[in-house]
Amino acid sequence: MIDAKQEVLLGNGAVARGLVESGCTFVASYPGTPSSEIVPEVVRFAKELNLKIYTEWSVNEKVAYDNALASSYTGLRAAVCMKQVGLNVASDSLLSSAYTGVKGGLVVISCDDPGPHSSQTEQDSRFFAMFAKVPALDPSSAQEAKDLLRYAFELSEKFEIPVLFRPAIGVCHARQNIRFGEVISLERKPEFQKDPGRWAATPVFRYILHKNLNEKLGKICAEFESFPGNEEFGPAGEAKLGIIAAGVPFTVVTDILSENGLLDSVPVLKIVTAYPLPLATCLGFVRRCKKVLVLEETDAVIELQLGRSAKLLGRLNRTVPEEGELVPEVIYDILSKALKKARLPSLPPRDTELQKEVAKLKLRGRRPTLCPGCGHRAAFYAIRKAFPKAIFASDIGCYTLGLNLGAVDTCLDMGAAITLATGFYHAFKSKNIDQPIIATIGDSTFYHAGTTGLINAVNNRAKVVVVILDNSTTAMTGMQPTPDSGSLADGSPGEKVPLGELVRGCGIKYIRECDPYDIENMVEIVKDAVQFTKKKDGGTAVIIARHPCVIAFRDALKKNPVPVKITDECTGCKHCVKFFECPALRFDEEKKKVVLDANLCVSCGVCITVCPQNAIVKR
Amino acid sequence: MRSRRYGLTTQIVIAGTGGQGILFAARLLQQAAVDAGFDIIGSETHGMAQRGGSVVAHLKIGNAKSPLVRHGCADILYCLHPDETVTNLPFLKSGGVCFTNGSDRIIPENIAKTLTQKKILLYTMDADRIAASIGNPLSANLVLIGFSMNANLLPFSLEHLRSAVGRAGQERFREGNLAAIESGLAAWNFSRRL
Repeated sequence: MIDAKQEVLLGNGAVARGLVESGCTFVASYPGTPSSEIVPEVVRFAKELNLKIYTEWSVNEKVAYDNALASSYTGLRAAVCMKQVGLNVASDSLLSSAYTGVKGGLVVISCDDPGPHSSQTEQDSRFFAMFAKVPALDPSSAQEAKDLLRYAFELSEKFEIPVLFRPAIGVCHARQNIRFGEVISLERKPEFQKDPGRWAATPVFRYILHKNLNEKLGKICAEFESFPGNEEFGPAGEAKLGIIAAGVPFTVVTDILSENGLLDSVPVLKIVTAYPLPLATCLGFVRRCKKVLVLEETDAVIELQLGRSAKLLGRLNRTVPEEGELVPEVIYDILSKALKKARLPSLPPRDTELQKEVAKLKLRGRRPTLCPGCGHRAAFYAIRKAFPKAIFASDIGCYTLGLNLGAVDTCLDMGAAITLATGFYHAFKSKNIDQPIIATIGDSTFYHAGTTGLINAVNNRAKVVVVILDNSTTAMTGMQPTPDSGSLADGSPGEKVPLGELVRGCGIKYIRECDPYDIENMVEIVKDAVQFTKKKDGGTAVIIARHPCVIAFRDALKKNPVPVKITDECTGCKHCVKFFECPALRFDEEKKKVVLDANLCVSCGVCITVCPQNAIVKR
Repeated sequence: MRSRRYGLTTQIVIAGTGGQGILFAARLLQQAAVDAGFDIIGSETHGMAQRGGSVVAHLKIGNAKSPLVRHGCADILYCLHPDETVTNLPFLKSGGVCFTNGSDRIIPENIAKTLTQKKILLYTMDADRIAASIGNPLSANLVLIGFSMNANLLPFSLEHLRSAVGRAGQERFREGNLAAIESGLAAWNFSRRL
C-alpha cells in the first residue's frame, strides 16, 4: 500500500530531499529553529540511498557558510542552512561571496521565523539577498521547496552566484505527503582553478567584480520575467481587486478564495522569485487591477520593489500589519476588508463568539520552563543565591529560561552574555561603582561566539565572572552535538575540542568546574570567583557548571535517584516555586501549600537544599 | 501512478503539552489518511515543546494548500491536557466535535452555553487512566484517537489506522500502540458527552 515514490515529510525533510535529488554533496549548518531538521534528514536520505554526502554541524553559521562556499569553488554543489538570525552571523561571507561568485551551485537556505516563535527578530532574509545582490527564491510549500531546489542550483551555476533560498516556518515545520523525484548523480571531480583576480580580489578588482555582479543581476531579472513559477491565477482582464502573493500567505489566501467560490473573481499573481522582482510581469498585473493587495512574509520586500503606488494595499500603508505572523485569521480579515472596499462579494464574517467567551476567562498561557532535573535550574539558583543583586548577562539557549528564576537580565544575540558583561563592567568601573556582574552562557553558544568575547575580556582586564553552563549538548534546538561531544552530524566520531582547555587557551587564569546539582558547593565557588575578580591581581574568572542534559542523557538520572516528599513543615512561603520553579513543585491554592507532582518529578533531589523550612526531604 | 482522491477537507487540531505524544498522534493520522488515498498538509510546533510549553498540531486531509487550520474551521479537536481544552475550543466550527482527555467537568458555564448554541459536541474521557490500566501510561494520545473512531468523523478506516501504527512508530512499540487504540475504541460507553 505504500507509495514508494512519496513520503509524509516535515518541510525541512522536503528541503533535505530536494538537496539530495539535486546532487548536492556538501551540507553545512548550525542548528536553529526553524532550520534544524534539514541536516539530520540529509543524513537519513544519504544513508537510505547509499550516497556520499558530506554533512557538518559547524561551530557557527559563518564557519558553515565558508566551508560550503569552498566546496562550490571546486565545482561541487553545496548548501548551507541556518535560521534567519544565523544569516546575520554569515552575512560577511554572503556579501563578499556575491562578488567572487561561485562555480558549483551554492544554495544559502535561511529559514525565517515570523511571529517570532523562537527568535530575537522577525527579520526577512530576502532583504539580505537584496543587500548582497543575489537572487532570492520564496517557496510557498514543502513540495514546492523540494522541487524548487533543483532550479536554485541550476540558477546558481548558470550565473555563478550564490542563491538565497528562503522557506519560512510555515514551510519548514509543515507536514505534507511529498512526491519524490529522481536523484541525479553528478559525478563531479573537485578542482580549483586559480584566479586571484577573482577569488582573492583586492579593492581595485572588487570594482570589476561589482560591475559583473550588477550585470548578472540584470540578466537574472530578465530570466525571472519568464519563470513559470510566477504564475497568474483567476480571471483575465480588468479587475477591481487583484492579489500579489508569495510564500505561505499565497497558500492561505488561495484556500480562503477557494472555500468561498472566489477563485474566478479575484486574480492572483504568485511570486516565487522575490528578488530581483520581475517588474514587467508585476506591473502588467498591477495595471489591470484597480487595487492590488500584496501578501508576503515577513516584510515588504516585494512591495518595496513594486514602487510607491496608490493602488497597492500592503505593509507600507498599514493594510497588512508590520509585525507579527500573518496567521490565517489575520489574512482572512485583511482580504475581507479589501473585498468590501472594492465592492466585491465579500467573505462571511468570522465567527469569533467562542474566542470572546474564552477571552472572558482571562486564562494565563502556559509559559515554557526548564525541564524537571535540568542542571541549569540548579546553577541559576546557586548563582542568584550567591549574589542576588548581580547583573546577570545571559545568552541564547534553553538556559535563557533562567528568566523564570530571576537570574537572566539580558539576552541579545549569540555570545552577548560575555560581551555585554564586560561592557557593563567598564561602564560601572568608570565611576568606581562596585557592581558584581555574572555572565551565563551555554557550552554550544560558547563555541559559537564566546571565545572572541572571552579573549577580549582577558586582554582588556574586564573582571567579570563567566559561568559556562555545560549540559554537553545543543539542547533547545534538538540535542545536536557540540565540538566537545566527540560525534559528528552523521554519527561518526569527531575530534574533541575540550572546553576547559579552550577556556585556558583564551588566557583565563581562574577556572573552576563543578556539578550544579551540589548547590551549596556552587554557591561557594561563585562567591570565590567574585572575590578573585575583586583582587588587585585578579582578572576574568570562569566557572564551568557541568551537568548533562536530562533529556539528551536520560539514563544518568536512573543511576542515583533521590525520591523526595514534602512534609507538613511546608508553610506555603512559595520560595521554591518562585526561585527554583521546578514544574514538579506546584502551589495548591486550596491547601495553601506546595505539592509534588509525582508524574513530573524525576527524583533529582536538588529541591531538598532549596526549601528554607527544610520541608522537602528524601523519601 | 496512483490517483489521489479529492474530497471535502477534514480539518483537525491536536493540542496538549510537551511529552504527550501530540506530534506522534498527528503522524499517525497523516499516515492513515495518505494510505487511504488522500493528500495531507499540516503543521506542528517545535523547539519549546519539551519545556512544558503547549504543543499544537494542525492537520488537513484533502486538497488544501495551507498548513494552518483557521479558528472556526476545525471538524475535530483532540485535547490531551485539560488545561489546553478551553484555549483551543475556538478552532472548532459549528457542529464540530472535541475529544478531550480529562476526568471531570472542566468547562465553565459560559463556554458550555456557547458550545450548545454552536451545536459543538464535547466528549470527555479519562484516557490517562485507561492508558495506565493497560500498562502504557504515555499512550493516552492513542487511546483518545481510538475512542474517536467510534464517531466516524475521520475519512479513513480502522484498518488504515492500525496499519499506519506500524509505519509511523517504532516496531517495538507497535503492540502497545495497537492495544492503546483498541482500549480507546472500547471505552465509548464509558465516556461523558457534554
